[in-house]
Amino acid sequence: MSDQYPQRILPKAALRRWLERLLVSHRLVGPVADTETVTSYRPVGPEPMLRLSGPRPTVSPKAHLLPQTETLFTFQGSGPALALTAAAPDATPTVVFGVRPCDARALRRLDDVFLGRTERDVHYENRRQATVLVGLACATPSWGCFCTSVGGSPAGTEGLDMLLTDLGDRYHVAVLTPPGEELAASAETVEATANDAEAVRAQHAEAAARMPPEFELEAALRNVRWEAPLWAQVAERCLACGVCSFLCPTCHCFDMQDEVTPDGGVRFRCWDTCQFSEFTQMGAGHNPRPTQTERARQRVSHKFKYLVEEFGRAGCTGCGRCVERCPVNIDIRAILREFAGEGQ
Amino acid sequence: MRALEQAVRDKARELLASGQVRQVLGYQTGSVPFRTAPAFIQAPEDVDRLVWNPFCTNNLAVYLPAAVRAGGRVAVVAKGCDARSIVTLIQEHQVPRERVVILGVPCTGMAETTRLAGADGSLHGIAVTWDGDGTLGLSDADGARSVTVQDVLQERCRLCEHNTPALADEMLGEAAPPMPGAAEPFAAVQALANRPVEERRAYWRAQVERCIRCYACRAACPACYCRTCFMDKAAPRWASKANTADESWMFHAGRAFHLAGRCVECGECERVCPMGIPISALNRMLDREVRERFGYRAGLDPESVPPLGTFRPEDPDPGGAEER
Amino acid sequence: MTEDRSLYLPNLAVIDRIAQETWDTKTFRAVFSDPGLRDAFTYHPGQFQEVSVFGVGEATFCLASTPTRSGYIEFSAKRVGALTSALHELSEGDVVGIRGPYGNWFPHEEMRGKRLLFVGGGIGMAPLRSLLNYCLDRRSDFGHIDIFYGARTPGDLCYTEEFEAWRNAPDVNLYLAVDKGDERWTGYVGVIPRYVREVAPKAENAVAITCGPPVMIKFTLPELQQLGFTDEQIITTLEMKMKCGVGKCGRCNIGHTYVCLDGPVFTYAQIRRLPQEF
Repeated sequence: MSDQYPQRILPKAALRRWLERLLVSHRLVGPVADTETVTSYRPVGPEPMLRLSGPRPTVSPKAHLLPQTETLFTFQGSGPALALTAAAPDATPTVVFGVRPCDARALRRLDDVFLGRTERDVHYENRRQATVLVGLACATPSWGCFCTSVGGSPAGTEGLDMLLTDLGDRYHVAVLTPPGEELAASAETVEATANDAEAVRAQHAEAAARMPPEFELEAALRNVRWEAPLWAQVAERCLACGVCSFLCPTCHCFDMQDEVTPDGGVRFRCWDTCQFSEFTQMGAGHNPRPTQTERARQRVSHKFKYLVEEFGRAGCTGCGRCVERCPVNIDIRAILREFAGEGQ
Repeated sequence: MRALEQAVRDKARELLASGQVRQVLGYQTGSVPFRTAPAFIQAPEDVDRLVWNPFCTNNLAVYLPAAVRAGGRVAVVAKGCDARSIVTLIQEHQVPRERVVILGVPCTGMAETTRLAGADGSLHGIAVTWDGDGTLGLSDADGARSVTVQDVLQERCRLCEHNTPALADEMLGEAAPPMPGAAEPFAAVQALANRPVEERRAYWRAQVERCIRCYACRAACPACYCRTCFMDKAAPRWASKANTADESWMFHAGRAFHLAGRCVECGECERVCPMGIPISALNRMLDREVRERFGYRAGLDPESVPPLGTFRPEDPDPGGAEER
Repeated sequence: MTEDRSLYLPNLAVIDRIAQETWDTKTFRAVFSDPGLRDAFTYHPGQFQEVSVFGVGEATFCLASTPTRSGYIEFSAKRVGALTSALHELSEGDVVGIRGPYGNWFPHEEMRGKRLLFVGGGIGMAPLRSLLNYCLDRRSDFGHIDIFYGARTPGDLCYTEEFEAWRNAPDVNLYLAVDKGDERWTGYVGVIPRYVREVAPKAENAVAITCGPPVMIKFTLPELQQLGFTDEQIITTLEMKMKCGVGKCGRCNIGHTYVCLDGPVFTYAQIRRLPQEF
């Protein structure tokens, strides 16, 4: 926890007023109940109803930095009159409220690709720079959660501007960055006491204790490799859907498509996944990843080998969504456990 | 039901050891106590991996066409819904009848795992025991408790009309009693269908707006076996990859129509949807129409032809001369 | 907020010449609509572009022209799918979008003073043509040039109008081959690898640049090795499905190598170190 800013307490009764004040000058995105069991991050309006308790939401806030569908430009006219209009930058000041530590950490991985590696992707950059992330520490892991196995924590602060911890009738507020401080200024907070600090420390410790690491990450990373019978075993039952990739907070592969409209058209990008069979399919017929075996190897190797080689960190923050939502119970923890257990 | 598990293993061992089948598709223990995973067994000594319990929810028929193409005969553990899917695949020439050995398992329903969670809404660390009959013992941070499977039935199981496989080469148990909601399988969709069209339009738009186009529903459906789905065709491009409500509706409605008269209501589509879209309700609405107009139920008789796959002069003509 | 230009926004270009190379291959010459870009645009042989037919989509094409001849660019497209079919429907005067140049390029600086052996098959000749014409435009910078170019039939050979110029250039040998001849064909009939073996170009102080169908590459490599070419002396291009071309969309990787960033040009030594998934 950063010592730079004084720790604060926000009574829960004051939360609603704070959110409404934020709404005046920001787009407010937070976890809302889509159904009894499904929680997504969506923009909320006046009288925001956020689902802030329980395990992490079904869906990550990834779509607010990298939308599922995003216009890149439009085109009008034809021939010499053809003109392109770049998509207006989306730089609306945005607060994403209730971000879990795994998802905040994941955004750093997206930054590696979209703000690093080569030139900056301005579509992503505009959103990213305009977004403040208010985190919420996890008290309850979901059954697939394994953040502690990949160097994370249910109270991790990496990537967050502020971290809230639910203490029952109040939130402990830990400001982490200048944008976070600016945001906290509009909340009716009081100074946290030593008791508050202790309660927070105890809750964070208890939450982490509920999730002992499930495998030795360094060993797993060392042993992920090209030839392994594991790939075919995983592929055998994989249905080649996009659930794991689309729910994953670090997955970022996209497709680009054109759509014709009455006055011209639009080029957009949309989420894509290396698990779809036509992902690497070439026009003349060749597909270098022709079966699910190659595609399973690509997914796991990309996250736990190639990204590590390129950026020094794995493309996984242990949110567990792929584990929970895979229709056929492919559990990446079991895959990593097997690699880790292979000795040196 | 424990006896069923042993029967599955014994039969699988017998079929593999005698060389009658190359592979047995069944269920194995999952990575947590309340999940199973599809199992692909080739060696007789591996059959003890096979399990049977209230978490054997997957429809394994989805693997059959590829398994059969890989050669030899394939045995598949089939609940009532799965057996209906297999019949559909046989009708549509995706699986030759003689290449599949259907190991029929009478089913009393699968548990809805989300209803097993304690007060904190999480299944983390839960221990689950099953008495081999109808009761689940649960133990987590909230303490220990038990529920009956009937109390936590998946909705699609509660409504199931064919929980004893209609077609099987081997029936591994006694016929199962009818499911509690089997008498009124269309009650909910009838209520939905009775609502004014504007309400229905708004309802479905709100549902498909959540679609992230992961295609898990399509991937899990045994009846969706097209090599190139209409959604993926580039030329002609029928639909856009953009997940606007219009395009997503094109997908869900299009798929529902492609399944009309073929869907066996196994409910996998809805189970696998990460966004909680009631996909099965859409299929059920069309199933109700097919049943009313054609008197047909999918996946019961391998000799019959799905009504939208053929034409007879006496077919009902909705909105046609008679109705006018 | 940044108002920098989007990586994905193409530049407009007018198609001002379409040449029918074969029954299914055309070469398109394009001139950028922006006069400033027209003059300033430069690239290296081996690089690629993303070409848009607005309303249909975008696809990857290597530059087939040479930067030594400025004011226009050329690319060749074989009609295989939706985008290439749309390209083939275009007329001169139509407008396309172009993003690029992307990728690395043939190491022409390091090739100076060396013997060059070009081995091309079918439309694989396109990137080789870029490098070849570049070298011919700077003839004195390079040593003896052998060109092997083959196709299934005489009708499948591209760039036939340039054969004369290539053949007549100083210290250049042009070896054309077809798998199956016709009544008018008087040249070599047989596969390129065999032709290479028969002619036996020297490997000393030489670089081999090869591009063509996988089967041609597969059988040409051993011939080159037999002639004494080391893995470092053999250069080729790899093709993977691409979309963004700029290292963001995650599609074109082979292991941790992105073909759009670290390729498409690779030495055979580099290829041997890659996972064999391409």
